[in-house]
Amino acid sequence: MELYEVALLFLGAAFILGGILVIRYSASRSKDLDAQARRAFRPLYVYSIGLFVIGIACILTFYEGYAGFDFLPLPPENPGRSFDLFIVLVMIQAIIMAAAASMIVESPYMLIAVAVGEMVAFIIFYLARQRLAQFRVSSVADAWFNIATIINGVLILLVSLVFFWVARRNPRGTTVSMALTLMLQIFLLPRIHAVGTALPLVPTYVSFAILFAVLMAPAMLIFTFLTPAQAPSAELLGYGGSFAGPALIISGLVAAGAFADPVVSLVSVFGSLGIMLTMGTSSYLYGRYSESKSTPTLLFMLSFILFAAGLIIGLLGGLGFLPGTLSSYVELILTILALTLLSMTAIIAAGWRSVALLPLLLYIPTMIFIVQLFPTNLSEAIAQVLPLALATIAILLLPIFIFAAVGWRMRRTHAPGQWRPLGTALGIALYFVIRFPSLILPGLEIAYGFVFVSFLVFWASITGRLDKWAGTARKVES
Amino acid sequence: MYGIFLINDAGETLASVGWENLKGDSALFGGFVSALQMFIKHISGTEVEEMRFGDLKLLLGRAGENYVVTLHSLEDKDAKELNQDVVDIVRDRVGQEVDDGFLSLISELVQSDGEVSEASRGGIADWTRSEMDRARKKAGDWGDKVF
Repeated sequence: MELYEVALLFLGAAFILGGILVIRYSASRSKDLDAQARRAFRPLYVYSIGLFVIGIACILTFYEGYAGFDFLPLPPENPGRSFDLFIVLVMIQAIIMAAAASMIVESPYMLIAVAVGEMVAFIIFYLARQRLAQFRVSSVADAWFNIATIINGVLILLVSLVFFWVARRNPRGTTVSMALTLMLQIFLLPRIHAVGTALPLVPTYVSFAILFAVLMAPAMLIFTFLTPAQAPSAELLGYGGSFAGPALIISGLVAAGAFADPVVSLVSVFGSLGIMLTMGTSSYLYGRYSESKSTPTLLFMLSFILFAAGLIIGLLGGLGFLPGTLSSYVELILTILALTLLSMTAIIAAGWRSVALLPLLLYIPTMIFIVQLFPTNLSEAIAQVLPLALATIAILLLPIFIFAAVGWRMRRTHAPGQWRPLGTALGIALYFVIRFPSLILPGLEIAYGFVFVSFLVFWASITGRLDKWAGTARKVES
Repeated sequence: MYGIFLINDAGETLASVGWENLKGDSALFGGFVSALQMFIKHISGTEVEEMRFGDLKLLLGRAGENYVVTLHSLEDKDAKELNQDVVDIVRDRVGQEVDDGFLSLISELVQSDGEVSEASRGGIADWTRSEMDRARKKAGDWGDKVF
């Protein structure tokens, strides 16, 4: 199976969940309104039906690829795998979305134009399929496919224009992600996607990046309809990325056939969840930093970005999808830098500003010594610089004690928000216990899965969820 | 199109419509056009097809032995097409008399087609623009209510 086909499963799930959340939002917002005001929410219900249709289309197409057959070959005698069902459902979805847009602008023209346009596109598409069934190979049919795709794409863009108008006057996370979700869908059209992968001019990573963007949009939709106050910001993009990144990694692994091994499957699923939590935490911290502009928050955010990058590279290397030794070195550099930044944050938070750079001063020479030994096995390299490595590790363990002490003091005085430092200390301790043995001893790639626990603790404590669960949250917190 | 002038090789203005848009004697205009064409033909072997002055332009076409000169505003995008239409009609009248009345009839005939399509083109563009503006406003209003 292709990466694109596997990613459709994640997209389908995200579209359907997005649809459910849009309905939930509409129902809760309109429940106390009179019948007249409630009518305004109808387009949102229609929009969510459109999301269900595209979601079902994605999941069925994934299943078609998985099982190797077609639900709807057009015409029925046409052999071979195609995306007929997907294309037909996308056309139906475009008409549904046009209905929502027509209701919004209170004019039937959008619906009429899109319905007629999609019918023309379908006829051209059907004729192309028929021709292909007859001649097996046909450049004419190919051209017709392209024309049908262009019509379909233009019509989807036309409908998303209405949602962009909505977003322009009301620039919120919800409105922007609604418009983006619809617009980016054009990259899912098989022909447009094929242009991305087939043209020699377009490198693979461009089509990879496009797929990443397409995956981000419904994730942003889900997040914003869960927290409608979210502004359209880099924080929101981060939340989108925290879904798209792991989804693409798992899709890539499935496409490469890695999931035949159950251990690899579990490690990559939990590792990806860890990446999702790490990226989610860094997005959350970015949001807080953009409000407070405080240096410790910035350092915290940077360290989680580095954790995420290290985990992605380490996971792919550990599973054999990137050169093993190189990726373990890159992961070490990124992860130790992340821990160094955490250590600096703890030192600043403890009020010892004058020695805040000490962890960095130890980090740089240690890393230079270790990198010079490349491509020696990492455990041997660390053994060769053991005294320096131990000193670095000692200073990296420092934040555990500092955060624990701060949290403990807050606990004694019953101060709210005590689980933030306590959870951070616990997260770092868990990270050391789980990850460090596997950094030094080879063959412990399974730790990439377990490290998920430490990132879960980080995420829950930093975003205030641990305090909420323990009943020690600040009153003003959401 | 502001006017049509039919001029023969000898420089005589055979018929004209719309001279009121210009000043002076229409009989002199025929002499000038004929002399100009003869001179240009002598020095270059070709003929003048267009002349511009102020915000007006003159288009010159040949219908047999005669010149058909049409007067347009500078912005008139269909000027060439209109001039050709008049040339075609006059060419079909070879051997028959062409007077001011006939030119006036031609003027109305060729312009009515253009005006209708121009008007409908403008109408569709205006309608699309106003519909888009209305839709944009409605979309914004809807967003205010729902989000």
